Amino acid sequence: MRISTLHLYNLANNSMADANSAINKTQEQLSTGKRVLSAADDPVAATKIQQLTDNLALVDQYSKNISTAENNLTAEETALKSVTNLVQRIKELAVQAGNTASLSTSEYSALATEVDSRLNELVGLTNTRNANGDYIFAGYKSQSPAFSGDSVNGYQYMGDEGAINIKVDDNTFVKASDSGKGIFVDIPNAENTIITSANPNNRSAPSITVSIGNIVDQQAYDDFYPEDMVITFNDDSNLTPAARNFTVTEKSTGKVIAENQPYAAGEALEFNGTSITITGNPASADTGLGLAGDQIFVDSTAKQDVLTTLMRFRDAMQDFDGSPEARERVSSTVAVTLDNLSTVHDSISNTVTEIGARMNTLDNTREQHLDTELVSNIILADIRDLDYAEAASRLSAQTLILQATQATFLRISELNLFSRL
Amino acid sequence: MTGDILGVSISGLRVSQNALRTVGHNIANANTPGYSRQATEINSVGGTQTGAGFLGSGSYTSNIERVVNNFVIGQVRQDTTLHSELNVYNQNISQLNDLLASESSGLSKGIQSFFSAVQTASDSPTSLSSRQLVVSEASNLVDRFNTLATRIDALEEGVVQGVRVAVSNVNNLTSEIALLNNKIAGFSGGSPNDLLDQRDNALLELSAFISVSVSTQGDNQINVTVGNGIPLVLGSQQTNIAVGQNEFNPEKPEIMLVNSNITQSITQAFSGGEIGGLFDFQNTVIDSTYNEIGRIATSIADNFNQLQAQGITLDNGYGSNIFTDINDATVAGERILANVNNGPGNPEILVNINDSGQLTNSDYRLTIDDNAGVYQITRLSDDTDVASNIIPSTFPATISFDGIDVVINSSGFAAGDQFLIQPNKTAAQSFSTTGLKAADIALAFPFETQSHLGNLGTASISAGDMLGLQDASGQALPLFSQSGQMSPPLIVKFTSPTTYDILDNSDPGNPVALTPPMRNQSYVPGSQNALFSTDNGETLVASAGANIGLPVGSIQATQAALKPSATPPIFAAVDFSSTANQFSFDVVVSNTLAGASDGTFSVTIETASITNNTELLAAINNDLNLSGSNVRAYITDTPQGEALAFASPDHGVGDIVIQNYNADPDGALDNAPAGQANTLLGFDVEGTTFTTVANVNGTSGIGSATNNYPVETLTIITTDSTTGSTSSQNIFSSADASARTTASQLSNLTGVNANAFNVMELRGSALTLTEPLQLSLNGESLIDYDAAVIASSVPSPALNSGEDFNDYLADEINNNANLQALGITAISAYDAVSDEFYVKINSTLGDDFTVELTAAATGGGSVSVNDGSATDVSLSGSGTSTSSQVVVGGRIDVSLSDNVSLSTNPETSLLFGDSSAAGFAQTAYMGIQASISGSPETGDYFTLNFNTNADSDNRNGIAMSGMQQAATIGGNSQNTQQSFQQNYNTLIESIGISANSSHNNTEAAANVLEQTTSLRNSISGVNLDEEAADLIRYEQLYSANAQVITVARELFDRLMNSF
Repeated sequence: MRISTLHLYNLANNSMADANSAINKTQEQLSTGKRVLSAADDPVAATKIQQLTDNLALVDQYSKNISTAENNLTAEETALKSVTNLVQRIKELAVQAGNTASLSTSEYSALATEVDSRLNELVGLTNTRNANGDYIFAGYKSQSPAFSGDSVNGYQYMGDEGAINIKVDDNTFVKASDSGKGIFVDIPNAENTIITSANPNNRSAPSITVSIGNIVDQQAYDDFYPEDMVITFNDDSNLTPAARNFTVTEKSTGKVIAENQPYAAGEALEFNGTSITITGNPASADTGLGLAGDQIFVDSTAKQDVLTTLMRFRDAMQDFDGSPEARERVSSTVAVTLDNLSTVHDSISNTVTEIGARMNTLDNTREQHLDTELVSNIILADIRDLDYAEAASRLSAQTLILQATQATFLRISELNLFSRL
Repeated sequence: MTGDILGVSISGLRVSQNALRTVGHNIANANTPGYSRQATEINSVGGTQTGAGFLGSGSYTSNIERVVNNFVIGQVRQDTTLHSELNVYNQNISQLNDLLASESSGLSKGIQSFFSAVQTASDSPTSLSSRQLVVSEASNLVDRFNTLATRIDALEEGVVQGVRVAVSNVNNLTSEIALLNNKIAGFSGGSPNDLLDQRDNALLELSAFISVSVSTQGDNQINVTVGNGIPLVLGSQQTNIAVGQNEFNPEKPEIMLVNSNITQSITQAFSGGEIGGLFDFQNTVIDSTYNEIGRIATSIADNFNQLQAQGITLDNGYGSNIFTDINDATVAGERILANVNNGPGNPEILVNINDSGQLTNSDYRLTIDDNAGVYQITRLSDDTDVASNIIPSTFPATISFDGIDVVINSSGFAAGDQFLIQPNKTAAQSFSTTGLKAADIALAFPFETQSHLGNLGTASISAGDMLGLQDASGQALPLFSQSGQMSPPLIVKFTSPTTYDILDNSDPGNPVALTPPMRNQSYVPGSQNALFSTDNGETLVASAGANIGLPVGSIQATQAALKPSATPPIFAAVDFSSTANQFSFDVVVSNTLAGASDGTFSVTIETASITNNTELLAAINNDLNLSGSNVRAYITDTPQGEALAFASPDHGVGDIVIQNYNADPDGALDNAPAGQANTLLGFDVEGTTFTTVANVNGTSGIGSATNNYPVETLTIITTDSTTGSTSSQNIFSSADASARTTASQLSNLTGVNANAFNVMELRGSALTLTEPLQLSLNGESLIDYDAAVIASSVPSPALNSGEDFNDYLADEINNNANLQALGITAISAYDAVSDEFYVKINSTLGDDFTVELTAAATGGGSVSVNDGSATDVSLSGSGTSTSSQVVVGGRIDVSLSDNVSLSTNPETSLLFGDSSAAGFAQTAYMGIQASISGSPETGDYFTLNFNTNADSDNRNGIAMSGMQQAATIGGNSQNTQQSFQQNYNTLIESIGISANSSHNNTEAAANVLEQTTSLRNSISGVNLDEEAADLIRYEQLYSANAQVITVARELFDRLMNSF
């Protein structure tokens, strides 16, 4: 075949350009350490690489989430351990207080003072805050204390049942908090008791408030239990002369317990063995305008929060006057208190156990993530990373080719008839 | 002679000079592109005839010819076209590939960072800094999209520029070819080699821009055409092309043919070459990349805005859009482009995205037919019709397809109008954030669940989940339609350990039924019980027909009771076995419902010994029984004493008549003694007729002792959501069937869940506690007796306004095993409005309630029954052995799945009400979910309230982070749906594959081109060695010729010297 001189030069040019670009690519691979430099190099591998890096980023985020969850749970566990110690101490006090035969009024007074300070300590612990300033036992409503109130009028749980879940794996969520309601409030009580609340629809402003109430006649209340009571303020005209008055009804049946009772703010109201105090200026019903009166709910429950238990314990000792009735009251209160404190203890240790289980889940998940990370990195290395030995030997081969091309070109270009003319 | 020799040599010299010149020309052009080597063609000059034969007279240059192979030249052109097309495509797609896959310009990193921020914020929802991170990462993500779109824009701009340059080159080259054609045609004789080379070279250059066909004209001129014979060069005529605008989109280039009078688009005719490659890249890669990226942007914006809307912020408000509304009016308007040739009507059209999950990555074309009557929308990716119909005449009109709503706001379509719909094209560019603050990220759900602390059972409620804010038809659900509250707050109240009601808890003192009601829901202890429907198209039909419950106009149903006398039987004669003592009479039953029990039944007194009431009743009832009547004789207790009476056992309309006394029933002519019947029966039946008709001798039966539920056709119509075809299933309710039976029939049908229940109120304080008082419910006696006397444990109904008696009744009902098995329970309650105590009776299965009262005819008192609505039916007594009855029919709530509807025949159903009325089936979808598990007790309750100050609630945050892996993009089928990241990866992969194959193809084409070029060069190229050899050869030729002249001169000289 005829070879044109131009072709000879073009051929050498092309070969050298090809060899150069091959060397360039190998060099780029060597300098980045990656075999696949762009999706076009190996589209299938590139997709796989993208998936793996996505996955690694996700696993990385999950590991961060696990740390957050662990921090939360550790904080909670610490607080709960303090509570357990405190409960243990109060139990000892209760056992001590059970010695009604020999303890004197002043000794009870001293015990009451100690219980009171423990109570304050406990309130502090239930209102534990984390680094973000969240009240950890207040459920979702973490910006306000879990329990509000004071040691005289009683404490009320202000949070809700919310718990934060943290995503630690594609389909795994770990509960990273526990609502104080479950730990401190939802405690089976040795005796039936009540919880009080005002209807949120009450028209009075400021809204009337109701004390947490207590049981003054357990026998009478047990007979009524488990019914709930509703206190509804009637039209003033129900009384002559017209005055604030209310009717107490049984919630489920509407049956009247006490009708048209005159209202005096702050007065203790006793029905079916319960005693509550309503304060404030309630809105009366207005039959003319068709307006409903304010309502107070007195719901039955067999549960009592730990703070109220301690308050009642303290109150019984504080009120101790040496009389046989007082001894009787202290003795029964001590029994109830011990009972309740055991349940609180159980409830807390259940929660702590659960926290331990969650910590285990977190540990296991972290292990899994580490495994995933390891395996992903190995696969990634396999498909993305450069085999240096192969690349190095490829580079020498390519260099050799370029050198050969250059050498042959030089030799061929010397083969020129003109130079011999 | 010498002259001859000289002449010959000179011709040789000339020839060798020409040849040398040609060789020189070849050497000079060794590097000239397109140059074809030339060869000198030498011929010998014909000889002169002499005696010695022909003597040659030298040589001459007959021709200088181009060494070419036209076939190879054509091949080189074709290969050049292919190579430059692939090459330009490859250059562009490589850039795009780098752009998308690069960590700095691609979207992957942005999507990852955004979701990481969302997760971090969910981990610590109260932390403002982690919330701020979400806001910042959202804006980074937007920047990535915008930047990527801008870079692709630049790439597209490069394409347009490339086309412009190529078009101007094409024009230059075609005019050069035309000029060369003209020049070449001017020569005759000899081929203008260098002009031909120039023309070939121009053609080769032209073929790098477009694919051309070349044909030769007679006079050595060529014609150049593109596509289907569109001429660019015809001889010396040349046609210019220009870059014009696309008829839909001014930014898109089109190739126009510029003639003297017309300008027409010939883009379609252009293929191959650089122009073809650029168009190919733009049409197949750029457009779809825009669409893919745009679709991801739209999907992210849509999903996150929806999640924001369903959540609440740190300020207790519902979240607002985090990204600009995908259906912002400006953006919606940019999604549709009108053809420049459209009529002047210019209708206002917006394209809204209604469901980003269903979006395809295709563009669509809206075409108006030639009569301007019908529109048609075609999906361009697969050329499929997605919607066509008559052009709407009322505005705004919406056309929906593939998750898109085309909203036409005004008329103005003209025949043949065309619009291009690009749902995704501008999305990546217009993707933007709304500038939320950290606190505005809605990480919380708007409701929370609470269990009542006083609950006796162990059941607990889950934290709850949001399902959506709209029902199946896109209507906003009411639950979260108002800020700062739940409309209404809900309460889940257990009516038994296995049933619960969900009520409107707006007034916690008095929860009321929801609309539509959610009552008597069944609960399975020990499993997760989801409270709400997840079917966003679920509707509920509550039985509200005229006959339901205890309809207006209901009356008690009594038995017909014939009491001919107030005198007790005297057993003066005791033996009626002899025919002389026998007598007979007929008991006639009439007026029963549809004559069912009508008839005349003969009674013959012929027993040997009738000494007391029991034997008398046995004798009469035995005959009545044998003759097929169910009327029974009994001893009534009147104020005057006992008396023989007859009663129908069936409650309801009917009369009893006693007549046709026969003193000689056997016809033996031995009549019974006169007065025989009177003394035995206590009344004078001889020649007398006694009747209950018009209550003459007793009471006529009245009323109806059934629920009066009619036979109706109930049709369940199921619409297939994809094909729109409907299928129907019929059931027929039976006459007087209980709600339980009809509900069970309905529940057997697919897509239907019917729930039957029954409620009733009893007010019994007006009863008198004296025998024969008996009150029974569904056949179970409620009043306890000690032998024949009312037990002392039964309190008087008069006591405490009936409260004690009601408590007693409720206890009796609640402790009755048979009633328990029917799910019937009772509560003794007080109604403050009417100041009455009553017993509320509830059936969870929906059986009829049959209340039956037996009481003294006078002074026995009454009991009033109602179904919870206004109608009261009072039951009153009619003495011993007879009773009055009322039946309260149950109710049915029918839940219908999405695309299922209920119709009735007759249309106004006595069971369900007017099935054609607008509010017949009401949406039962709430858009929320929560589940209860464990074992509840009756009276336990759970509340669902608006979630206030829930700073630590991260449920919506979890939902947001779930979006990272949720399959949210990619049409209807679940198989094709992908997450944002997957979708983007698929795009990278497909561009990567294209880039990879285009790279390989380009290399292959380059190789082919190199081969054909080298083939061409091997034919036409200059080889310097060859030329050097030629040089030597022709130099030698020249020298030889010169030598011949020398020889000739020497010969001549010698000749001259010899003189």
